[in-house]
Amino acid sequence: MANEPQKSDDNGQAAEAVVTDDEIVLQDQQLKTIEDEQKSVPLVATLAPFSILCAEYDNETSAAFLSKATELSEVYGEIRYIRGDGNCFYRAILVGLIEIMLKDRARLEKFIASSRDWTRTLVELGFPDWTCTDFCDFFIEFLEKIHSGVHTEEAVYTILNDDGSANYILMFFRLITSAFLKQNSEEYAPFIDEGMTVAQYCEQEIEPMWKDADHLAINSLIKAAGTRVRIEYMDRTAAPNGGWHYDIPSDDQQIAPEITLLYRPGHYDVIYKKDSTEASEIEN
Amino acid sequence: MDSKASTSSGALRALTMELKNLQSQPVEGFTIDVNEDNLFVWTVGIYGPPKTLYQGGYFKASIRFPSNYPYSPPSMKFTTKVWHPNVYENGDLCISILHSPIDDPQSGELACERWNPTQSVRTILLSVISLLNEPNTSSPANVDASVMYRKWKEDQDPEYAKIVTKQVEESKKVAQKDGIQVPETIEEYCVKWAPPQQDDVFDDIDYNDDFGCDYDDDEEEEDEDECGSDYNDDDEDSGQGEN
Repeated sequence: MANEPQKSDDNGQAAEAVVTDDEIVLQDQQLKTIEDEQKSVPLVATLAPFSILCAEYDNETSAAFLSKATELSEVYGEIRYIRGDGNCFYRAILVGLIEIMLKDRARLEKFIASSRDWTRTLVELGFPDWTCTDFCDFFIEFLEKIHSGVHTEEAVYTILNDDGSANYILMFFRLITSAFLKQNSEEYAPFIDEGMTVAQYCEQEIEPMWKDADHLAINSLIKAAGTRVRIEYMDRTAAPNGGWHYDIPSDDQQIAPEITLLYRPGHYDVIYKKDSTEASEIEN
Repeated sequence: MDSKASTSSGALRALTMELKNLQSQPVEGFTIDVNEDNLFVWTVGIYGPPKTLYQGGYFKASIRFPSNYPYSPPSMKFTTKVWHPNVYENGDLCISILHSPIDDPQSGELACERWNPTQSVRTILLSVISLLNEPNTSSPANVDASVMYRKWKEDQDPEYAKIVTKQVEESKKVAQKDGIQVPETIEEYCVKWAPPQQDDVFDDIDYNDDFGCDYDDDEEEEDEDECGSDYNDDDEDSGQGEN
């Protein structure tokens, strides 16, 4: 804009702001570097053989991970990398569910219905009406187009890799995670740091884009989305109770999980069992 | 794939929708001017709310949206001079809703006031109106203005009100040049920019939506003199005859 005053530091009072600006510039550069690194991986990669994971490690520098990856490769045949941009858990669940729904029409119809219910619930819970419902509408429209055949499987993955659309869809998952936490705030409040309400926690940790999912977010999203998830850990110290994997919800271990994620420190990818190895799960 | 362009597609959707929404249900006290060729920069005109120090003022600001809006917040900069604890000398507005939750965690802002994608231009504008009248002196962008504001509030020094009043007068010239008639009374302020059928707009300023008043009545009753005494206390005021 022509009449916009130039930022000037010829004034004592502005000194504070100028320092802040420098810091912001530096921060922006760092963020840009991180962003470039992140973008070297697609949002949702194509399926790859599980051996690609083993190839990331070697016996000298990462023997423990190599051994675990090799062990997992006996059970899991494929892996789908997800971009590590802070949304990976949400995106992994999104992708896992879409894959199920691409094969299961009844499930797709059920999920469309429950997404409509969530839209109403969000408004009832006091989420800003028209910003939130637009995220919901966009997602529901996406599902309906899968249902009507407008979106082919190929188109679905193209959309899931388009930042603009994919992140709009992803917001739906953050919103229902937040809504689930708020609906069950009594149950979850004890797990939130002192001095923060469940609502504040959601607004700070769940609703903002690119914020990693912690255990509360993981539990809430899985329950909100009505799915069952197994998380395989590469690192025993990361898994609960010294185990190698964790099923959520943990109420009934008899039902097989329908989505499996691989957790490596700070990151989730989606992994897929080999067809015939259902029985030989790795137990510890 | 051109990730920049594809990132912007979400932003364009959100901005187009917000603009449409704001045009059909304007926020009272604001004009919005958007060049359809570039949805990423909006020019807003803010009318100083009646019965505040800023009454009659016309403050212009630009809002710049990042390509990954609404996931990241826009920035807002006054292009009219504004002496205010939360406005930097260069016009940059410092308000918590325009900050991501990851920014400067040591500042005193409450987490719940931070930007997240459920916020919108509407919620920003409402925050700005409320901030104009009730500066956040716990994290001032303009320390001098903040100190001055406090002294004024404590009836120690009228300087703050003087400067603001002067800026309001200057801004009127800008308004005139732009051909803008700034509403001076609550009636005008509401009638002209009233229509929202929903009652979600504005709890910060106390007015009734159903005035049905006409513009001209109170034209001569500009109450410059009330600045500095009871700016936030409608009840004691006698000039406007609302309530």
